[in-house]
Amino acid sequence: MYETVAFYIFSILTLGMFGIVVMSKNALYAMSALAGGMIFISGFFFILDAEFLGVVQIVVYSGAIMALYAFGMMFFDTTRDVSEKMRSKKIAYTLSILSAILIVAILCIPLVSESIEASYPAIENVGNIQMVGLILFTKYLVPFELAAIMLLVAMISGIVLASKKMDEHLAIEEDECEMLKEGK
Amino acid sequence: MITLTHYLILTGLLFAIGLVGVMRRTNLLMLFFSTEILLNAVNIGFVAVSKYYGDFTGRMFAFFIMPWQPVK
Amino acid sequence: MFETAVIVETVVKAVIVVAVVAAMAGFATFIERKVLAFMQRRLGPMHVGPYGLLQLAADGIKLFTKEDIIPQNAIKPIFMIAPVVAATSAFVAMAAVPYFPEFTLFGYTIHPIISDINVALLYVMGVASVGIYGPLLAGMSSANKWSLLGAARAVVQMLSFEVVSGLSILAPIMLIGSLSLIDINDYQSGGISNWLIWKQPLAFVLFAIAGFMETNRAPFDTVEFEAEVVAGYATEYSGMRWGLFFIGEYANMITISVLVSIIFMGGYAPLGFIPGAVMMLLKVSFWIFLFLWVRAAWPHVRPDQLMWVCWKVMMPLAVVNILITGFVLI
Repeated sequence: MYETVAFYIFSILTLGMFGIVVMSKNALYAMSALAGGMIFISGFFFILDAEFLGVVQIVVYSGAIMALYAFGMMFFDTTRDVSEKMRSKKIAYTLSILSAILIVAILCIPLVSESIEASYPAIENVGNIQMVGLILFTKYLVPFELAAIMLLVAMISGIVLASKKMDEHLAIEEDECEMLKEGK
Repeated sequence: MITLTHYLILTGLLFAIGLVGVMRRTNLLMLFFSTEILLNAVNIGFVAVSKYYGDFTGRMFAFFIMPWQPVK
Repeated sequence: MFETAVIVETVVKAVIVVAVVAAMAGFATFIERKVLAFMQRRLGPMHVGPYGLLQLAADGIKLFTKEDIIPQNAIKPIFMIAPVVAATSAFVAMAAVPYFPEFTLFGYTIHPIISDINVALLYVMGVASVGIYGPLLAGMSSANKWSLLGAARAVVQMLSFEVVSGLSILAPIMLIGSLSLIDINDYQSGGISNWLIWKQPLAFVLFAIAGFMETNRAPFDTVEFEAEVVAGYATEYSGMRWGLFFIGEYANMITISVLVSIIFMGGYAPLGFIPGAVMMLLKVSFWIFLFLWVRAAWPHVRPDQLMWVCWKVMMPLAVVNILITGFVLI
């Protein structure tokens, strides 16, 4: 019963928050609503007995959205409205029809999938984290390593993009240090 | 009682919101936000399916979707 | 029926924790002024009540009755919820923290923890780091350049210390094999020699420093340093909204103190004739005192120095620590 209440509360909150993200004209509203929505989504994970995923959701998204905030600060004045215009109505209509079909398909899945059986059934008496660890480092080891490599590539490319003038900055700092030493 | 269908409806609704965002927004940052909504909607769906079928594959998939955020 | 009982118990516990911690946070401001005063050879607040004890009530009355000013160009709703975010996340983080050993009251065993989830440690760290959204939202909605600078520093600081605190805590977790704070506490219940501080001294130091950064305390108070950014994110705030930020900050201090006591210093395990609850109170008091002591003793660091020490010193040390722990375990 409490699960039902929690589910409906979180659903309304998440839908409302993401609605604000999509519809709001103000970038700060959008970002704050996105952060709130991500944290409410972790509530669903807690209801679904995936505590580890819920906590990871909080940690990862609070950090990731924080970086987005930083971009927001750099890109535009958050106290002003963002001007956006609707273009290409045709694409909009096509996509909305597609998404409607998608929702119908999603709703039909449980009807046709009665015969699905779990390929990695949850083992009794083994905790959630242990289970995640067991599966992650046996069956999904290669995707895990690939994800690590992906992060490494992203990090290196980020450093390369940002570091074009790094040498000059360092040089300036050394100059300043020398000047300070001479001053002494 | 909450069934899998409830979660799938929620997933569909969130995904639709994300699609609306992708269509509406022209600003790059706002586009990012919408794609994050799409990813998260799918994540909820995966975790719900993994819970109701007692299978960990869905959860693992959701786990692998998460690192895309910092990558972007 | 059983479910209802659990809900009632949880709500009662939550109310008690929030009330006690909010009161302690208020009291900590008084203690801070007194301790700082004694360290600087002053008397501190003396006029209101005996030894200035009622200064606390006077401050409270002042905060509550002060006019709540909202600047004209600020984004009003976000400006108004930012302090609430700061205070709430500090209290929500406490949901998974065990404070005392379990005890029996009127024939009913009470676990002094609101919710014993099996990922408690990660949960507390994650929610506590959400607390930095308070300063961030405040700074970005205030329409004030000092506030914006404070918010930018909050982002930089958060992205830096989060890595260090996460990596440093990984080595103790590898030793214990559980994320539940109760398990971590029970692991070191065999007296002082079992404390993790002896097995993981490096992780202890790194986590303590990251804790100082997380609570924006003195050597790392770049977010609100008066000489550089006026009052940082709180420049435009007044009255109770300003007070909420500080309740959040002190509640965070208490959380970090409890965390360090549990993870590295044996938690609420009884020591000799001293019962566990008293040990816990002593450890937490010591850590709060240490926070104040450091504030009185250490000079302030610049944001670039903070980032330098995080990324170039502490993060490699934490990774090396994890590697060594891994090799020893294997």
